[in-house]
Amino acid sequence: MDENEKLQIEKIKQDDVLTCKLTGWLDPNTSPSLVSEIDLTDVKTLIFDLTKVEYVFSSGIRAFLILQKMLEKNGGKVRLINVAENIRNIFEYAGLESMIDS
Amino acid sequence: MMQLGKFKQSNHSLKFKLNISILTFVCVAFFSLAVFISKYSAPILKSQLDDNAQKSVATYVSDFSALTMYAEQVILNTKNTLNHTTEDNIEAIKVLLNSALKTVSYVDLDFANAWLYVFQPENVSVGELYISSIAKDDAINFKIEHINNLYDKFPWFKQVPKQERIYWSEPYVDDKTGKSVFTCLIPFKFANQQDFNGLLALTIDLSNIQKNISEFSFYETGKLILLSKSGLYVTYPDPDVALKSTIFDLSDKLNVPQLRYIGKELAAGRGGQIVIDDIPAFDGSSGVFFYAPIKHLGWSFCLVYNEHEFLKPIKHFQIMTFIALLVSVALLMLIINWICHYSTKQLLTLSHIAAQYGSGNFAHNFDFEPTSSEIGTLAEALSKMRINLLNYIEQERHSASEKQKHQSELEIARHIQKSALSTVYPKNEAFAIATTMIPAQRVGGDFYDFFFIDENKFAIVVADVSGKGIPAALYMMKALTLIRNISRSKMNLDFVFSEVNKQLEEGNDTCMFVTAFMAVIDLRNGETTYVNAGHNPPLIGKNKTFNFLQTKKNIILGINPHAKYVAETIKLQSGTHLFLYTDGVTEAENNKAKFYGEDRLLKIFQKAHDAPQENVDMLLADIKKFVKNNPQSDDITMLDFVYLEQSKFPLQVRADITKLQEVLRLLQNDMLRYNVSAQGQFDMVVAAEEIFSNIASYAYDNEEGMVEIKTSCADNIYSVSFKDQGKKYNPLKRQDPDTTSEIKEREIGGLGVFLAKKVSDTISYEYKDGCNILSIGINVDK
Repeated sequence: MDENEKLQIEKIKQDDVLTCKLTGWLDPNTSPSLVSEIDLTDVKTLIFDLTKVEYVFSSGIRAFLILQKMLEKNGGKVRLINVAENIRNIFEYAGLESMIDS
Repeated sequence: MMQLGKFKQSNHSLKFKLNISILTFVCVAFFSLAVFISKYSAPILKSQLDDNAQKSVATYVSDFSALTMYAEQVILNTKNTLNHTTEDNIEAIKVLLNSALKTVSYVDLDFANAWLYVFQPENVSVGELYISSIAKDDAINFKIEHINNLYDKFPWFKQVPKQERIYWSEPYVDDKTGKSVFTCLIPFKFANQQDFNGLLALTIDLSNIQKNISEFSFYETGKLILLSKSGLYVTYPDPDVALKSTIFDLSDKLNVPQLRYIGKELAAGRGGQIVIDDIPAFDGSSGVFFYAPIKHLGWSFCLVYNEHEFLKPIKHFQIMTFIALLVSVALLMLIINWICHYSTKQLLTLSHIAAQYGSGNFAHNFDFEPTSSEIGTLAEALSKMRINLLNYIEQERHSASEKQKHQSELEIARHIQKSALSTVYPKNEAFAIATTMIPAQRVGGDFYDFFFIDENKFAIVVADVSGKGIPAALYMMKALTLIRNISRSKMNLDFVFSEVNKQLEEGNDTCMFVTAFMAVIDLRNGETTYVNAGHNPPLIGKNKTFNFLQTKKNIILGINPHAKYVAETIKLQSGTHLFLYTDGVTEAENNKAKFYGEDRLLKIFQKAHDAPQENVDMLLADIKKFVKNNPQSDDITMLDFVYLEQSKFPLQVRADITKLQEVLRLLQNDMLRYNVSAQGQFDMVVAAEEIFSNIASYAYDNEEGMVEIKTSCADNIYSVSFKDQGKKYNPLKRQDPDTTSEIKEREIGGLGVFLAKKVSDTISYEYKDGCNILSIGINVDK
């Protein structure tokens, strides 16, 4: 029995901007799918909408950093939007608040 | 409000204004009267003056006529007698002349003398003069003179005609007596002669007449002048003119042609009136001349007076008017001042009293005699106002105290009602609860309740009493007490509601009723019995998935005593919420007359939290957002209950990353028991995730192993400890990652424990009996 919630990713691509609306937790079980399920071909800007994300753990941050490094090769970047206040705090602790578009 | 008249403010006192207005009026009135009288009295006065002048002149003319005619009569009689006398009869002549003188002197005329000149008809220049003269003592002397040079003595002798007619001479000065005289002459003849023998003459002294005339005065300036036939002044104010100048001389000398006109008129025997301007004797004023002839003599009288003479009485009148005006004004001022003083004294008293009333001091009741005067009316009105105000104040005071009493009673009612509602949430590991009740009025008809029926069964109730205010509150208290007391009989819920219904119906003449939902939860297994008496169905759900609980709708409480109530059952899973509320939530109305509604309620609960208090706060905030400033129309009552299975901790769990979410959910539920705040929960979940992941990933390398997790709460710190038997490792000693470097230079790993350290309030590691024990603590009020 797997009680773990799956991470839902809703993708919208417009030109070289890929917006992913995430629902669920970003934990060690779900975060790897973030990297595996997103096709970065022709993507310059990857936007994650965290409206429906309740928790972001270090594994989630790690996934964002991996994607960021992958995009950097082509001069792209990862942006985070609609980040709840307590999740924002986590990014601040990690010194990564610059990834968040307020 | 009554429109008050506008007062034109003036700085002058009433006294001043009255004085000015009344005095102005009086002055104008007096002045007009004076002008009117002057204007209309002038002609009357003038005509009266003219009349007087005319009469005076007429009197003198008639007197002088009578006098001279009498003299003529005497001389005519004497002549007739001489006609019968012979010239040698000297004695007879003497008697005759003496008699004539005497006769004339009787009429009080002062004759100078009477004489008879006898001459030969062929030589008038030589003759005898018989003179009879009368002395002051009435003694008459008679003498005879013989004279030759007749013309030297009587220059006008030649002019005496030979006819038997009386001739009056011009006035002249008698060389013997030095008196002004004039003479009346008539020719005569003796009885024995054919032709006339001489002249009979009567000389009249003018002195008395002159004196009489000069003493006459017409008012102040008027003078009477006697003129002879040739225009010679017989009398004149200036002695140099009398008997020396004629009116014609003076006309030329003074260059007053009107005088010549008067002279001519008189010579023609006409009388009249003429005004001549600029008379030097009158200081340049006009002179009025009245003149009238003495016809048989050819002489005339003339009365002259200053035309402005008649203005004198007017001037006099004006002065008197002015004095009267001054006196009247002075008197009026005295009277006005007295009235003003009297009136304003009363007014001042009244205004002083009014000022006292205005400042709230009504002690002064005053005794004004009731009069019909304005002051009396004002005083009466003020007195009435005082009584009315006192009554009004008394009423206000009474109603204010009534109001206050009512308010404080309401306050007490609210207090009693509030204290009847449970506010202290019991600390129990099997559930968490949060409530609120916001009355629309000071007291409401809604209530919630929660209480233990026994140590395992917990009851939750939400009810709504029809109506609002005190009656609803009283009925609500009754319902609340009944439900609580009957529930404690430990009977089934359907029986409880039937019994409550019966007792509520008793004596319920006003047909009030209650809708209610009640649930009793067995905290050991989540078995729940519930009954719904016409109330809104509660929400049930967990993990952000909520629905309305399907309930059988029983009849409302308090109406039908025979009603049956059917209870239903459901089994609550751990973490399941029961959210109870009243229609004040779903029927909260915004300013567009729209209700909050069940859809919006259901929608907001898809964001539900785990902690009941957060759900209550969330819903209240959303209702506030919906209604905005619209006033609350109904009581708003909520109760959120969450059932928690008996604690799973201490928990033995495989150190496997797939167990992560299960562990974290159990921790979330566990935290509900201790009312850990939302931030506290979040931080604990983040910290626990990192620690558990760390153990799952590294503690046992790739071997299987277990983790023992314990939770506890003390001194406001909720603590979780993780115990594993893996290799000895203190993660707290690991160096913190560099969080200041650029993103592209970041190492991917090493963040987990760092974050756990950051979010937790306490964190500690120990190695004991071959076990790694890592504890994290969170402040529950974070």
